[in-house]
Amino acid sequence: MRILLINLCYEPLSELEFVRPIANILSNIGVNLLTKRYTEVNLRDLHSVEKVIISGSALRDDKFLVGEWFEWLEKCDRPVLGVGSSFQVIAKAFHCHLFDKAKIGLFNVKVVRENILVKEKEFYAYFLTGKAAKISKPLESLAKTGTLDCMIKHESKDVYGCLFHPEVTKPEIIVNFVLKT
Amino acid sequence: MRLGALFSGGKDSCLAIYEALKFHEVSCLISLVPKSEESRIFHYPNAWLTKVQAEAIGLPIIQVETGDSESEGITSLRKALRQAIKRFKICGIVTGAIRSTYQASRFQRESAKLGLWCFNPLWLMDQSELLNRIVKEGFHAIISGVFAYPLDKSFLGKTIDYEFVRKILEFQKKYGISAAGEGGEIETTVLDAPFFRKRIEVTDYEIHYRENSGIFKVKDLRLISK
Repeated sequence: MRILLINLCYEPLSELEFVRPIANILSNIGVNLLTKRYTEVNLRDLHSVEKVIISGSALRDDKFLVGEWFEWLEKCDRPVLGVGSSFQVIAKAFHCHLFDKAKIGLFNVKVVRENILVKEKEFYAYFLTGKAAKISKPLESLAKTGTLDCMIKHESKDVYGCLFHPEVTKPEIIVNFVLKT
Repeated sequence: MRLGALFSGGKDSCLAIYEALKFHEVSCLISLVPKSEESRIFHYPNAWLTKVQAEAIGLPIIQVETGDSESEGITSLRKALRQAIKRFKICGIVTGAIRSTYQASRFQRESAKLGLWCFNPLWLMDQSELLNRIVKEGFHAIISGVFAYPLDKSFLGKTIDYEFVRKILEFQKKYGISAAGEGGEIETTVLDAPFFRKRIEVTDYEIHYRENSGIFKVKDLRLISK
């Protein structure tokens, strides 16, 4: 299976922290990986893969929110998973309101809607975010931490977002996305 | 970008600096030194050595004393970061955090409060990959503390080489210890690395070992130009 891993980092040094761990998980399950920075992704790349994963980025890095780098997301027919900062990318692409909310560390997550990415009803996840989103249609909440929506899905497409970093404590979310969507 | 490196003098902080130097300028080292005599003797047997390592690397070092409690640790870290911002105009920090979400969250929170970037280039790195990188890139790192069975006296002062990596990975498989020492099983001290201007030669040392716990204490050394 061929997957496009989109690197959301403006600073190359951050790639080791946010892109490499996801690439390692994918390599371990035999995925054929195409990795590209978000500014370099084109339609040919999207058509050449079966699924798309968008990495997180450093807390200070929100350059990806400036410009229309992810206009393709609304029309994309491939399954997409955004983790960490790219939760903001998914939310923005589907016109949800982003707001400042610092959340750093391990927090309890409660699943509010059954889904194929995670079996448990409750788990701990590692958050590293400076923003969250007010989720509205066509996105739906799958899980919450406190009152914040932290796992989302498009109502009719396989487009998912995790506000936390599944690669740290819940790698099975990434594996399930690859194997089950 | 000018970075401050959180520096313990061990393999992880040195490998993190090595990665950071490929993209940024590291302007200073930042080291927290335990106030408690017990912590100093048993867990940071060569804490004084970080000053010598800074000289060998050719970078200034900010050292701030810290207590054992979490709040004291955070206060000291904040104090050290403020000094680094003021004296060296750093815009970010680089750390050797590998898997501890407790440690990483603390670094992330404090740097965010001060408007600093926080880089963790070893984050979630595989332990075997990390140890092999240390050897492959030409680091001279020695084992300066062992704190778990079956690591005995014979490991103290040993250089991390491919033979050591093979053995420690075998122990990891058999006894469940962390090969990279993330659970505090081993302490390391780096005597030379590709970015060091001078290498450190240990000329006198003491070994203290009792019941699966021991330290290699450097008593004297010299710096040798490379």
